[in-house]
Amino acid sequence: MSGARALSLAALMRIPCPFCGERDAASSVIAAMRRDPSAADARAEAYAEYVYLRDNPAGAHKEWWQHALGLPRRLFDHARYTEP
Amino acid sequence: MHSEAQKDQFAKQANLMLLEGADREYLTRAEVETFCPLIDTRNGRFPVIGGFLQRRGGTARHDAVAWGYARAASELGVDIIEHCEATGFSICDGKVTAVSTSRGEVRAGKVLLAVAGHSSRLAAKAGFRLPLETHALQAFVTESIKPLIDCVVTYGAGAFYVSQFDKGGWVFGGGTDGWNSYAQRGRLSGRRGSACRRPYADAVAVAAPCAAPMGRREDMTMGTMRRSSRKTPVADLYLTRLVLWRLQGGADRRCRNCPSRREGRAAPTRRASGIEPVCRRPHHR
Repeated sequence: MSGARALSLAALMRIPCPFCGERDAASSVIAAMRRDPSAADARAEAYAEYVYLRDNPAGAHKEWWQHALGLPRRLFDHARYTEP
Repeated sequence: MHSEAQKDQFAKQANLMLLEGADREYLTRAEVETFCPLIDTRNGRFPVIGGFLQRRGGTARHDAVAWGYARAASELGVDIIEHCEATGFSICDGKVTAVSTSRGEVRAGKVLLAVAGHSSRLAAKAGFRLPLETHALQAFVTESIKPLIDCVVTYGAGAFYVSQFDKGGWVFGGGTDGWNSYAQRGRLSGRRGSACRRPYADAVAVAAPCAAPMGRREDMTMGTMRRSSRKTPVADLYLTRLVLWRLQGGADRRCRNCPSRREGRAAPTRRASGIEPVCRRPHHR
């Protein structure tokens, strides 16, 4: 049991909340992929791209996160690595 | 299913299965108890009020599926080149002409992207983006125990399924992490939510204390973006049918009489069974 448990614990992700410090990812939620907000005012085609298309990078990925158990109304920038 | 609301939801999904030519039947609580006695239908927190059953459903061992595809492709004259990475595409006048690989260039009239969770990465090499994110789908397998369950039990509302391998291991799955990642690590939390609230998970946890978590990469779509063809912005470069199905809305497609159809949501296009799908929403009554 200890082997499986250690593996699970090692796999937990920590998110550095700028207000509370490093916390388990389970207490945070992803708000959104970081995008250019000006595209939200664009014409239909560009707006569809803004809403639907994703970079889906393998490597550094910039996002807005929200620490739900901390200051839930504050977003913070967080760059996360999406590869092992 | 545990509630009337879930019954409505799964009736809709079952009708969509009928629509696609698959079969399903409704089981009452007593019938669930007869079919799979292991399920604790009288559980106080999660009483089972009924279920849907596809009798010919089951699992196919993943190795056998891969070998089946490979053997059939080989017999059709397809060359399978192992340990060969696709590194880019040669695109001329908006048309793909060749795939460059770690072992040289392969010229081709048509190219199909069939790489599951890596569709975005190949699309990026061809210069376009997809409405997809790659998420790890969590599952875990126990050590071998005696045969206990001879069917697949799923709980769709909790993204949970369980079955038992021929070798005896139980396979528990599995929601996604909730964020995009190419990592194949197993995580606890995604499974803990679904597995530990199942009545029979307790029994298995006692019988098989060692469980190995695992993660599998899956393409997930952003909402229900509809695409009308398998084509991509690059001519002669295609997506697989599964990716396309997800882009069209996948299991979120509505019954053809639902108001959402008029709101421009993707609607079922094929009725192989000839049976009209009817969901249990008020507009059908």
